[in-house]
Amino acid sequence: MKSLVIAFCSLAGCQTGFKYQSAGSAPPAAPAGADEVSTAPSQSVSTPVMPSDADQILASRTLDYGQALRTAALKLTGAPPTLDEMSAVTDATSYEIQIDKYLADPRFAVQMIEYFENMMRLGGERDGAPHLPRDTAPTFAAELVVEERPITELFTATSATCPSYDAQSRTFVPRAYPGGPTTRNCQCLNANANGFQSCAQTAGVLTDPGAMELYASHFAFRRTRWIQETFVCTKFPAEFSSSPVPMGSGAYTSPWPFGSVANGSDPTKSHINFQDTSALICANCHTTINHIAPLLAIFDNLGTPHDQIVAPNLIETPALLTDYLVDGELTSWRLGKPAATLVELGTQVAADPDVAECQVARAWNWAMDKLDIVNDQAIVPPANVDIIKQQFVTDNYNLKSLLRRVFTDDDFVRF
Amino acid sequence: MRPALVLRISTVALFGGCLGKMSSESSVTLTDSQGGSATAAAAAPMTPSYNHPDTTQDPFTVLARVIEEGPPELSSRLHSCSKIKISALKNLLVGLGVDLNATSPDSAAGLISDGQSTLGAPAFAARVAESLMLTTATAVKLFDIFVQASPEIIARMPSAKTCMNAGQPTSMFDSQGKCNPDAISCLKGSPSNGDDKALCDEVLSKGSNDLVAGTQVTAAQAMAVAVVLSAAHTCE
Repeated sequence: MKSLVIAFCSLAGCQTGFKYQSAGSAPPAAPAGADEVSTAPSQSVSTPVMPSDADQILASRTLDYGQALRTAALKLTGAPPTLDEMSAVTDATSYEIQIDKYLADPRFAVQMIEYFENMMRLGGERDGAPHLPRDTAPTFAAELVVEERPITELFTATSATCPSYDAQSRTFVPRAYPGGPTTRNCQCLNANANGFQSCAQTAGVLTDPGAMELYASHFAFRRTRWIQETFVCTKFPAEFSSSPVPMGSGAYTSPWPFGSVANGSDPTKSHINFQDTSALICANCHTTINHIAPLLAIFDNLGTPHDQIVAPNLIETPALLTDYLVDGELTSWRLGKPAATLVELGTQVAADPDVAECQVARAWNWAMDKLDIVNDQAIVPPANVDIIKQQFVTDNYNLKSLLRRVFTDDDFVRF
Repeated sequence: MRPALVLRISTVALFGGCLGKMSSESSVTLTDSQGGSATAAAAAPMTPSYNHPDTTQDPFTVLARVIEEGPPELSSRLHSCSKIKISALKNLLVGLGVDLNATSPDSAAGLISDGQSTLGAPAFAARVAESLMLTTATAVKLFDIFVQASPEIIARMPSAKTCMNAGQPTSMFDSQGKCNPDAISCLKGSPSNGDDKALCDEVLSKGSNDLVAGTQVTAAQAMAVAVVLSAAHTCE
């Protein structure tokens, strides 16, 4: 049973759908009501089946502030603790004092930049000319953490989203573009000199030129996937109906109307049939993807925004909205979460509880040396971090406070 | 076949998974930009070939991990062992007095510089993060780096700030030539225990007393330091 569940979910790409189930356990029954909608079930593990010796394993751990200090120091400062720091830590109180010092250490900013570079898989600069930076989004995220601003500004900030980090002064500063301005407002730059100078649509990292450049693709689907996997911590499909409809060789599981996505029937308006069911059910993922991607398709291959869709379709002409959606269908983050603009998209993303949960899970995995939550399926069951997640929300999405809680958590200091 | 036609056929192949008209039983008439046409039999069998990059792990690899580690409800509460980050490795060595500006390919700096892929460096241009997986090759590379860095560490530890104990310098070996517990703590980044000192002393006693070329450090001393470092920093 275990292998079947894992194999199915892995093949289907539903990373979050993976649940540990012992032999003989039945899959959860779908609740009644066709209108019920759920997001990715990943983090919704119901009743975990724990091995019989789990309690014994957990109880066998011992408090080890020395080891905890070492791994905390490596992550929060990028270096092991000094002898003096080790000597100063003798109990929980002195350990927490040292964690606070690490969080206040200037090296913490550098560690946060690296943390977000690896999370977003963004860094360095573009190889060819123009040598555009690709580390603006991670640097902005790090600035939010260091300055204890809500991490939701990752999606809602309307200006100053492209700082640089000055290693000399150890501060976040405006970014100096070679041959260009020194500014934090990189969305106003124009890599192509194509005349577009509007800075109206700045939505945190959702409009980051480096991210939009590196994750450029046909239809902007790669950008859409980047947002989903990086900030929601699950692969597509992202939305599930509680009443799947048998279709093709499988089932249509999305809550969106099946006919909401383009079907390729009119080659002047759409080039792909997303309603195809001959192999996979494309619409299971593309009902969500296609409601987001048009918003991200206004960026060209250099990450410069335009006032219309410029991402190419498969015949290398700019895609049309009707390439994604049928006439009359509007862009949205999720079903019932409309987003007519990137700014509205950012607002919806910031308000999504799955996004907050993802931040908590990633922070937890980082501290506990886990692999990637998406690609490696290093899942963090919600029940394990529920309390610190609630505190994270109460703290107005202060990631620095969250990290303090994680690095002083009872599980973290036991080995 | 004209270029435009080739393009459209490849397009069809690429997005076959989302083209309802494509099946093993159908054929498709393709028209190029000059009005020419050709009937191309749909690739049979037409597989769902839209190029969705699949980063999903082999399910059996995941299963093996779950069996070994337990379910996420348990394993997520236990520390795992991920590779030390390259930046942390550099900071560790610099803190111990190693010159990472050295240009010799045989130096620790040279090994790090030349071993980026083995050490799991990120490839952001390919949208790949730094690897957290400690492979055998990575572990071997780390050990090589520690071996090469050891003579410098031994020589410079007394002046290394990270190894100062209440303002007093720390030497790697005591007056009897045995491993100094404080020095071991400094190498590890965590308090020394009896086991690591015993291991360090054992390597000293069994290793060669030949000097490492160009240094006043014996091979046994260099190896003892490398063993402690490698054991401590296998996991971050």
